[in-house]
Amino acid sequence: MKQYMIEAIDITKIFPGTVANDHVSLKVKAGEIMGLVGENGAGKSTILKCLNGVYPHDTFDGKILIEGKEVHFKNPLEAMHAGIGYVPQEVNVLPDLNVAENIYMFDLTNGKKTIFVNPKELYKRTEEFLKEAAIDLDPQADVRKLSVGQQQMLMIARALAENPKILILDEPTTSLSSSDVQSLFRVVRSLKEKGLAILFVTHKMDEILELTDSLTVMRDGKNAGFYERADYDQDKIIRDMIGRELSVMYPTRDVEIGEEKFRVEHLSVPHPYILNRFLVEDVNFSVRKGEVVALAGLVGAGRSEIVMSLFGVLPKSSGNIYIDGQQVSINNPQAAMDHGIGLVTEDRKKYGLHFSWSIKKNITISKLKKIMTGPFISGRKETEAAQKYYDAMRVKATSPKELVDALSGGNQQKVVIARTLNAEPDIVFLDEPTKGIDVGAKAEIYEIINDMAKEGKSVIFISSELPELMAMCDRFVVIAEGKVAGELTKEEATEDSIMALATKTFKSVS
Amino acid sequence: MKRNSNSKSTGTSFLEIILSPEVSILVPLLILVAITTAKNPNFLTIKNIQVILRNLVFIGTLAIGQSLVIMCGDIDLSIGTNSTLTGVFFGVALVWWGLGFIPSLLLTIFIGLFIGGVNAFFTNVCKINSWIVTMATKYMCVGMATVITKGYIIPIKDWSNALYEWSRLRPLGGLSWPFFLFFGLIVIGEIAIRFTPIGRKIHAVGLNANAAVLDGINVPKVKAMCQITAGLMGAICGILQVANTNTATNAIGEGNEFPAVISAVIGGVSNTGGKGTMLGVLLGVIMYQTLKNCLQLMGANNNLQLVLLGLILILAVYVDVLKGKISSRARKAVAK
Repeated sequence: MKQYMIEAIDITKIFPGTVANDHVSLKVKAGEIMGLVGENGAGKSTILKCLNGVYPHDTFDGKILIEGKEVHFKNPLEAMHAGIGYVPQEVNVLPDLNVAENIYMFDLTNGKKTIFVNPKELYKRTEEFLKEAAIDLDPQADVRKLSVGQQQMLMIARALAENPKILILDEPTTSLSSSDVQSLFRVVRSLKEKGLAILFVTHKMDEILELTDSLTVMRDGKNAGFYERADYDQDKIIRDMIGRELSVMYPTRDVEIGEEKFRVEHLSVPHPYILNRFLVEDVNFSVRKGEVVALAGLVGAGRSEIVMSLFGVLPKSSGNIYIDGQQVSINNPQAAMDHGIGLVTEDRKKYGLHFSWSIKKNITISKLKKIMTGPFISGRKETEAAQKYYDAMRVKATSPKELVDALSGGNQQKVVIARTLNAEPDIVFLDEPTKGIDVGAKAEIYEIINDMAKEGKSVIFISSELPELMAMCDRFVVIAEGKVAGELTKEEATEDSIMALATKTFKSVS
Repeated sequence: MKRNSNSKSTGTSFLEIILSPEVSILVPLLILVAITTAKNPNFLTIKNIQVILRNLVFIGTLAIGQSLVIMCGDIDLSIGTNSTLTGVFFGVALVWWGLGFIPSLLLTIFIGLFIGGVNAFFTNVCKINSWIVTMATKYMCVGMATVITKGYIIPIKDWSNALYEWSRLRPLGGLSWPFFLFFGLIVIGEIAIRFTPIGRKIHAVGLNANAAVLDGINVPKVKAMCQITAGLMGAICGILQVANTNTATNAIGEGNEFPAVISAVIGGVSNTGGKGTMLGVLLGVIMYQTLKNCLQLMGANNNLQLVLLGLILILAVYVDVLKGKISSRARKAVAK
């Protein structure tokens, strides 16, 4: 029996309003790859941040032990020196430096006290190091030209250069192609042979089955299950991930679904920086009048990119859009709005609101034509238009004149929806409309969605919370890796069947 | 409009009034006037006030254009030399080419719009930062002005003195036609900013261009409109400068982009975009011109004046930053 390399015992981390980690424990042995799985918001990132010192030791309860000795990290640097190597989810390299400089950023002179870097020595050292780690990279390569997979390898190399005992990989495969995933797995296995303890965070079931020796499942900030490799049971693991009690009441809806309103065929969105890679590839789906269709899938699967490109914000490389059977061309948001499409954005902070404006101005900006008298904005018409949606959305504020800055997240979200509805769309894309808002506000947003369907609007609903999708939607288009992994009717859709499609891996090399 | 609604709903009326651009200029302006009057009784005379109001139209027209561009979150460093080049074209067209008044005027306005269009093209289509684009066009304008005039000063009296005489007329209250023209532009601008969709859109773009995209606003179009309007303001300023000096020369106008920025910022046009009114710009220009006049009357050295103006620009921007901090703190306090 090998000793535990790292143990996290009863970690409890409380944020104002939520308990992000509730007595979470993790144990990884030397020479073991442990998987950590859980849905978005299950508390995986929180526990990782406790382990790598982003949250100082006195901001959470519980103990962290490395090789049996308790440690207290004040910052990530201390964690690094204690042997914790952390590779974050987002690729985070210095694109203007080469591979060797990226790896030895903090030790370009090999510990010597000199102001000049000896490039030959640096490249030689890097080459030896990369060979030792079985990572296939050229020390002098230009980082900008590396693929995402190679950049991911570079990040791992950078973590390894500090000689860690424990390597934490936070969803390293989200942006990788299948072949890159395989070479990543080779490197991870060779590190395991060298006796490192590896914590591998992922969403994908086949990666768990293929790579890991043991598995910890988290759900709602708690430990939800632990498996040794011998006991792996896919269905059971999925149930552990998603099986939670419903805490929200979903309003029912009785709407006659009409004919097809909106259809998209062969939608592809190219990656902004990498040639011949796609964020969205050959996506087809349709929505009928009064229908609520779910775009289900994991974060990063390309759901937001689909609606952003349909709304004309992201450029698409192909895709035919039909509204009422007529093909339309949408290359910018103005065109989308002219064709009766409305988008409620996921990123409230970036795309959502003008924070130093009043609620009223934020609502009416989406259709100024409506509130004009001659060439001027009519104060009376503006107040009327704003009041209509202010009331319909049940925004909780003293009046529509209040600044949106002062509102809670849920009420800001209602203003974002009000802005979209003010443009009187027939087709509404809702991208994570309930993200980060409280239960009461969520229930109100469900009512609003039902109202939209009753008015005969076509709704496309994106959410990472399966229970709400299950309750609210008539049909489910499941997206995985930028493609449609499958379509389910309301009868076919269960949390398990959706999850199974969402975690599908396309084996084609892109 | 925004301030009013704000004060009613959040109860920070007093703070908001103090921090409103109009009031926060008036207070230092009154202090300045008081000090200068005490030191030099010639300051607060009708004649001197007329001088101030006559001289502010040049920086003033530029400040209108500049403030529109700043409200969108960009800057126009070429607006000063735009007035140089357009003024020179005006003079050359009138005197050397003998095109006649109206064609020369139209040509000049076209050149101004064209410069704005070039700025708009490179910032919005080629996505180059407006600081770089307009710095480049600034030097192109001043270079062109020298090439066209070959360094000569062109006396407009060779064509006619009518323009010069027009600019010296005092139709009402001892104020000149150029002042009324400038004031008219301010009024039109104020109405457009406050009461029309384009004003709303300009502020939306400056506050959060990403959100403006999802508002359904054509962001490049709004920015381009402001930049082209700034080009037009440069041309108007160029013509007024020619009328005022009765000469067309490449020596007038360069460097005036900075007083235009200072006036706009003192007048409450947020240096990060999204805020500002034309009334504020008017007061900002009056403040700038009065300050300059005071310094001259008190016999301050020309170079010292530059130092002081630089300090005032920093101070005005800092006040803008402080205002943001204080009002957001006040809002949060109210929200709690």
